[in-house]
Amino acid sequence: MATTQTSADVVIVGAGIVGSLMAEKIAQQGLSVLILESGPNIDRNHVVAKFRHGVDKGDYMAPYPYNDWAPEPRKFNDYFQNEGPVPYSASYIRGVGGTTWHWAGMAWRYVPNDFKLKTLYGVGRDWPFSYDDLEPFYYEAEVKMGVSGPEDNGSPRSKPFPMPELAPSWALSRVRDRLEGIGYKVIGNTAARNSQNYDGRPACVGNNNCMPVCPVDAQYHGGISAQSAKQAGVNIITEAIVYKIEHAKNSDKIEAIHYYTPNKDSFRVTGKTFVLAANAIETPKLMLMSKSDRFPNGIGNSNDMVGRHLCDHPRAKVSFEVDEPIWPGRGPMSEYSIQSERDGEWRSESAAFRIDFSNTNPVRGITDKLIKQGVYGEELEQQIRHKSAHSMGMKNIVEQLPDPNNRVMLGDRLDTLGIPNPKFYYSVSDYTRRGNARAREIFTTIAKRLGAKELSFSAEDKFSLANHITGTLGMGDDRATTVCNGEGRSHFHDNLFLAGTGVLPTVATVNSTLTAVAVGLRTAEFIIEDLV
Amino acid sequence: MSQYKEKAGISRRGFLTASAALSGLTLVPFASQAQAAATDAKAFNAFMALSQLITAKSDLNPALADTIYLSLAQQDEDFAARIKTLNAFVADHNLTSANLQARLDAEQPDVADLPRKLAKAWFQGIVGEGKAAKTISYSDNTLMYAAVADVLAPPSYALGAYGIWSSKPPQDV
Ligand SMILES: Cc1cc2nc3c(=O)[nH]c(=O)nc-3n(C[C@H](O)[C@H](O)[C@H](O)COP(=O)(O)OP(=O)(O)OC[C@H]3O[C@@H](n4cnc5c(N)ncnc54)[C@H](O)[C@@H]3O)c2cc1C
Repeated sequence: MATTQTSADVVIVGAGIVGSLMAEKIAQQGLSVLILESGPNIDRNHVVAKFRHGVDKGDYMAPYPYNDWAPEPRKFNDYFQNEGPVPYSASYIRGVGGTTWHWAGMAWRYVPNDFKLKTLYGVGRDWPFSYDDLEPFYYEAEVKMGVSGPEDNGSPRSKPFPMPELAPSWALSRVRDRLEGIGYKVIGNTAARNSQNYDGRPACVGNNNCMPVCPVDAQYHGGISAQSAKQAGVNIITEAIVYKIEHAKNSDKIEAIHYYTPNKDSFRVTGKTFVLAANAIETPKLMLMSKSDRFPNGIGNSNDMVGRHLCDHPRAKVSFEVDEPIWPGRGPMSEYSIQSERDGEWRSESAAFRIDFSNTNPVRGITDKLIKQGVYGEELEQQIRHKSAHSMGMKNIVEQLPDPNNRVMLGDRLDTLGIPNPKFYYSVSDYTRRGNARAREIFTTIAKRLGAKELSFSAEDKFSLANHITGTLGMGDDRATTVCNGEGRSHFHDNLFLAGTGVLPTVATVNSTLTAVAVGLRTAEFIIEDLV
Repeated sequence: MSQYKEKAGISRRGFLTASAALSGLTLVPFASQAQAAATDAKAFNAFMALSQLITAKSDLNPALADTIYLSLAQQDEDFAARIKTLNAFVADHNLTSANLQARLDAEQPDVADLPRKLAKAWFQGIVGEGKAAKTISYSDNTLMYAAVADVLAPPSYALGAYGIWSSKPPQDV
């Protein structure tokens, strides 16, 4: 095994959206920054071409390169091991830019009360800082990512969005008008999607392919963040699979990080400050793997909290036929939602949620079903048209409370480099199930209003998970139950910082990325303060 | 924008077909109707007759027809014989697209899989199952997207200029 040495002021693991945007900000202060990224570079046009040639167009991972030396969950590889009553599933991309290559671009802020769940409602945990503390960083993230949306969305703002709200689809306008009558306010989503030329990228042209890839970059993604980082002077080493964090011989300070190349040559990288931004599953894995005599539980894990408190959004779903042709599939895939259930007194008893309406082109799935039923000829064409025009799907982005038993662990299966796969214990509490039950009632009311036919609910004990992987590196003031403090600094290693969705101590009722970026940009300021 | 090159990616040849896809073409390998027909003219004609019944279209794209026929024949060595059997059965019993599948399931199960294969090829642009499945068309020529082409684009193709989705779509469906 060759051993070569590299060094930088700040060494970051993971060139995802959070690691890359932090790197850019730190490098702009004149510090040297090196990112170690496990995957290869990703080329958008190749991904688009592979999607068009692909057979399983519902598999959002299929168009992306797969490497068994940097594995990720795929249909074919059984990467996640599960031990709990509810199988945990998620998908992520290991490549420059990370998982936001395929996302829906939803870029929500939390609401202020999300930060003090314990104080206000006696459940979950409080954040180590308030909404107001994070507000300037939310704005900084929104400007970077090009976020647009309606001003009045439940999260107060000090400045307007950097661009106007996206033009609404016909479907949005119709559903909004009809639900107004029964007291539900429908709004367009806040999203990292251009409503005009912005930062060298064009406005959305309705490709309706936000997942698995926006073909024109009207939707922001981590590949763009990585490019900005490079322009700021950040050095990104690709195909560098980090497998060990090394501490100093006689202190708790982190001294180096070790990575493998795909051929298993090993390299050692030193630095002053280290940031782990390898996503909310791979980062805890890395910390748990880095055992030593001084730290037998792994790095940053002296209190056994790394990987615990795993939260996601175990959603309920419903689909039906609306009584008028709204024609979903024009505009972005995730376009509009209801905010009214995100906060309320009932939150001490039952989970809050946001309701999402689907605007995904439904033609493929509908045709599949009809052909399975043996419908042919003119009838087939007519039904494709009719069902596509009237199709509707809804989901609730439901809050799950942090439970220390729900966790990421090291599995016993190994990848080709000998690195363990992740293993999970995951369950869904009655608190969340009560939230889902309440959501089903609201789904029913809305469906009735929209003249629903062929109403179909997801099974009550089946959960559709949302890839909003949070809690596993949770921040907090209580050193006994959290992994890092409000700065993102490990409770046990002064020069080790954690970043990404894992540091969010609660999952709230929105997609996690904007908040993870805002928190990361805030953490970057503490890193800069340490070094400059 | 594409400074990034995927390493374990698409070969040059793959990229050329990919470019064709980018401009919205139907993906057809080099084959001619004559070549397809030369294999077994009666089978090819049976295939065309059944394709017309299943799609309710008389103006099916000939290049796509060749590709579908050749692909199905490649994947099933009895295809020519089976498609003729199916066609004869349909003609003898005056079957329509409405009763086709039910009658085959009950009376001619040996060829009851074929209508779905033809429908999948014409409407969804996919031939074959499982690992052998391949995409032969992904555009407005793919009939499920042709059916809605006045309102929707196949995902990944632009619908039109920014904001076009605000307009009122057809209501007579
Ligand atoms: C289908 C889908 C839709 C989504 N939609 C939304 C949405 O609409 N809104 C939203 O907010 N969120 C959405 N998400 C979630 C969003 O993608 C994640 O929250 C986001 O990517 C997290 O960013 P990150 O930088 O923490 O991690 P990632 O983007 O996962 O980046 C982590 C990086 O670390 C690298 N890495 C991992 N292990 C190692 C290692 N050992 N050594 C070196 N590098 C390593 C990875 O290769 C990767 O590049 C969606 C996710 C999916 C799958």
